[in-house]
Amino acid sequence: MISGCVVYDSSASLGDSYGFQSGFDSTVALSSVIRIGALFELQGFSLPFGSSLTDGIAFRVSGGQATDGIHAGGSTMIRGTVARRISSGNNTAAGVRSSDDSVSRYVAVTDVQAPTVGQPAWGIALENRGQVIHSLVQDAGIGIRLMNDGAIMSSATLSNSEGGARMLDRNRVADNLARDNTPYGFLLAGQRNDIVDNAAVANLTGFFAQAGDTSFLARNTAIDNVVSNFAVVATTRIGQPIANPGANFTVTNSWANFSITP
Amino acid sequence: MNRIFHICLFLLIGATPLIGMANDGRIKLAAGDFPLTISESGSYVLVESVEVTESVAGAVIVVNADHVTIDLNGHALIWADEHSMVDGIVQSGGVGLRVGNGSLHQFNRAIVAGAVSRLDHVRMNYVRQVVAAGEGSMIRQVQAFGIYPETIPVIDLGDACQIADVQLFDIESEFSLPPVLIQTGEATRAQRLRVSVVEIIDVDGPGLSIASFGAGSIVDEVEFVQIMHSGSTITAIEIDRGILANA
Repeated sequence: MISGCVVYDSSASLGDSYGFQSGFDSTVALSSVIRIGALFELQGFSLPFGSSLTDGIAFRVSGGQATDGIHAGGSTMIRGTVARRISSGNNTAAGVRSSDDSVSRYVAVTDVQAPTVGQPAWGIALENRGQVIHSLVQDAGIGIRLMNDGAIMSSATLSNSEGGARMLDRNRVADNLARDNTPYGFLLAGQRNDIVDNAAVANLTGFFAQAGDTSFLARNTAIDNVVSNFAVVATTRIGQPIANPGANFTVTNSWANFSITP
Repeated sequence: MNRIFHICLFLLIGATPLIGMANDGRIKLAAGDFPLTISESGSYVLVESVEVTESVAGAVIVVNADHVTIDLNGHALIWADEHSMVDGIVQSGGVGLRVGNGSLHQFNRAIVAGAVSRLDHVRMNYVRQVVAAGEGSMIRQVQAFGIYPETIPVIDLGDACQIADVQLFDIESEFSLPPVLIQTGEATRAQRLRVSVVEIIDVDGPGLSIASFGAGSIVDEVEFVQIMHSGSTITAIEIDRGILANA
């Protein structure tokens, strides 16, 4: 158990570096990593399999190579935690990066930068069966990335430069907001996703389903997205998009999506 | 040989500070030690409640060093004159001040601390500012009542601070209001804050925010109760690109 600890104003010029590195099944709480740097790979919090981080802060974590504010193994829980100003000089960066079966709940990730072309800057990047709940990602590259069989619930992605939320297969995405992201709010890059009750506002494209997608979309709202509110392929199972329904509208189709333009 | 021994003994006794040393290596502080300037890192413990009548550089304790712990040890530090208040504990230029386990009464700025400081289990009464602390600080289990803010925020924290289990009760102000009562920098983690019984008269003022949290913060379990404000606009909570829950 690590509680009430701070790592502050530290840098490493040799090897990979960690702010906190705990053992398996550890509990880390009320702890902060602030202003740490490394020439090579860097992880603010390094949490192995089965660990949890509650009420943590990773702030100004800057590595020369792959850099994660919070790097977690499988079956980890991150809760009530802030990651801000996470950057990599020459590789990928992530506010939170977790392996399979991990949960991020009440997590705020803002300002994640990876300047090299082709090296993503993820806000929250989870592997299979990951869940993101009541979280916020702003000013990252890809806001939230899921692989397969995960969920994004009641979360927001704002002003991310490589997409709001991106997923592969069989994820459930409900009650989320994607706003001011480029090039899309929600990207369905796989199949059989369940996308309901979300709002996409002022992205380039609101909901974007790539070729071969067979996801289910219902009761979503897309407003003022620049290129398209819904850009989905014919194989997508999308409830009838109702365009600009006007004031006091009545719609009896309970599966309808709404597309609103200025 | 004997002479050398006695000279050494004399030097040792002569070098001993007036303030004593506790058995655990902590430096004991008693009434005669105030006002106090701390210039070396270390751990200090208050052995009695003290009413102080003199200040140094406008404060009762000035800390000119990094990593100083002041354990109030269940006692109170009191400024004697409520009509000409001075600051309580002020760290100037250092980092890592820890203050805990006691109370402070009748101070202008009760505690001013540098980065990665901690304030834990402290109670305050009749102060203008509860705490100002630099980035990465942790403020926990703090109660303050009878607060009379002027010009500066009641709580003023830098980036990436943790603040939890803080209660502010009975805040009154009629002039020279600060624009915000609780102000934090970016990436704050705040939880279980309660502000109650606030009476603010701000007829011509620029408006008031009860709490303002910097970008990327998470704030939850906040309660504002009996806020009485007359005059210009008032905002309960400002939060920039953050998460607010259970407020």
